[in-house]
Amino acid sequence: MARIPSRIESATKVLTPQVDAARASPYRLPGKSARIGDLGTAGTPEPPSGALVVVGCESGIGRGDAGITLAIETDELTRYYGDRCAVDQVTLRVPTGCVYGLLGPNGSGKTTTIKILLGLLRPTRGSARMLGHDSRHLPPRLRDRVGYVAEGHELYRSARIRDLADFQAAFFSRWNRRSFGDMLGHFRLSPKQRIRQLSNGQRAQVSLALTLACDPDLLVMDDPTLGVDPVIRRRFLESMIQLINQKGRTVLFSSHVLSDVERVADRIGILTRGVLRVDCTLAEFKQKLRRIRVVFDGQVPSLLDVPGLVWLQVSRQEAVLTIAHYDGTHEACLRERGAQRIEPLASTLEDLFIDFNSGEPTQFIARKGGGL
Amino acid sequence: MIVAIARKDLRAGWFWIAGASILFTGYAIMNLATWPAEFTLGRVVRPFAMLGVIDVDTRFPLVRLSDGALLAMLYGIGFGLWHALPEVGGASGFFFMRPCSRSRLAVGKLITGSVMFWLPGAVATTVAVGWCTWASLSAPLEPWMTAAPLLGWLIGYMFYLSAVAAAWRPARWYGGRLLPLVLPVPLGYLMLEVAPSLEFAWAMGGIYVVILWYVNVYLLTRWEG
Repeated sequence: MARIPSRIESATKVLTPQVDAARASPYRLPGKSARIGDLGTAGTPEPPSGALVVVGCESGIGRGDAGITLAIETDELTRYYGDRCAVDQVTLRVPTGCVYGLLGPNGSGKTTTIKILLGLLRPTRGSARMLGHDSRHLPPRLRDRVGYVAEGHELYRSARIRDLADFQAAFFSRWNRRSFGDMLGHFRLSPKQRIRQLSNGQRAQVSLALTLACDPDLLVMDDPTLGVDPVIRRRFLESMIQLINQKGRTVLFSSHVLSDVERVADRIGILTRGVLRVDCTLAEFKQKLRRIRVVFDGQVPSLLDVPGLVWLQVSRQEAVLTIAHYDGTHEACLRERGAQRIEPLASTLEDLFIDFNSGEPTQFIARKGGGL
Repeated sequence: MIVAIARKDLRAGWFWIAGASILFTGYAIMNLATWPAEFTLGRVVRPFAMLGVIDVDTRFPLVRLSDGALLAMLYGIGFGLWHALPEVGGASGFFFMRPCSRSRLAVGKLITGSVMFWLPGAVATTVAVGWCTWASLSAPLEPWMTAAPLLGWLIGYMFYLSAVAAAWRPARWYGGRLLPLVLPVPLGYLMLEVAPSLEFAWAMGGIYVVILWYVNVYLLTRWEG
């Protein structure tokens, strides 16, 4: 397993229009020039108007952090499908024992990243390591320690649950028949049932049971609760939490259900159009992104150049802003522009995630005179 | 490992073996029963043949069974796609994420598929040979004669391997993906109609089979998606 020496990654990363232009070329050479700028924690330059702000974190894990063992690490991982970039220079660190939630809208590159990690896809550039091994050449003894719950929970439709259990048992050295039976009981499933007779949610449960009974050190799940009703989702999460409680387990999962992520994840990463724009603890993400309502006397002035602006919603005399790294300077900046009242707004992970993924902030709607 | 794959595939695909065994055994019996020299149906047919009313194939019954190549070909394509597609389709994550090298998984699949393919052919040929023995044909019965019906089966097997290659081939366009299914068509024709001897035909098929085994193992090893 990889040992990492100390280094703290940037707190704020800024994706400038120039870098955007560099990204447009699918066959550019890898290198610093095309990388998201690492601008450091202190004295971070203000992003140019219209730039996308990328939230990093003080707790970002770099190659250099001493004493941390990494279960997953990627370096400038890039994957193209033809001339479309699905994953763009993603550098990710998941420490052992961490529950990492990988978020992002549809088509943001979550599944591609996961498949590269598992060796099911090859990267166009960059590297990925899992439990200290290059993902392109994962040895069988390492696969024995990795569990994978695939998106959609596709299993052999004509098979019975017990047939799949036999198939798993023949390969995985740590297969636990009793644990599998217990999980089936918990999910109220019979080993005699055929996969094609099961609902989406039940297939998800079978898939999870088949994976967990292998007793994996690292569990990778690709949108495991997709299309699952709330009751089954809750049971699914309970099982996941049970697994997490076992010391030393690492879980990487992607999800669209942000309440699930909030419940179980230690760290989150947000992928947008293939770029990892957030990699921090959940608490840090909530702390660093603030939603505020600002009331003005007259018409709302242009706010697009407010430092750290992530999202902006304007209606007549007031504006709701989502700002990264909100502090006293922001308040002063807004007061200078004639803000009469500034109120912090309570926001959930879902609110912040939506703001974060809504594209570049624009005041176009305000100019038209309408609300959002 | 191979046993686990075999058990999984046999549980899922027993109906292929059962169905094909019934179909091919039926085909063999029908063929033997209509041989115009000896049997009940044959006796009925023979006078018409002598009068030239119908065209009757008077080749030795076992040799006639090589005509079953068309059926074997259809079985090979259908069974091959059924056998190979799920592993690279929806269930690919489940199949590939096992503590085992991909080449071993590929070999396991191909051995299982080969057994499942040849089993119905073996059943049908055994019944045909048994029939000929039991019926005490006036013609001599030698072991090499089974090479003729099995040649048809070999052609079917070539199509099975080609169907597996089509399933595991990383082509996006369906036309390109199905290309491997076209290759054994001229080869099968040459083996049945042009090859100067049975041995030559078997050698041609054998070379194709060996190449396709390597190709299929390579394809699964390199598969991504």
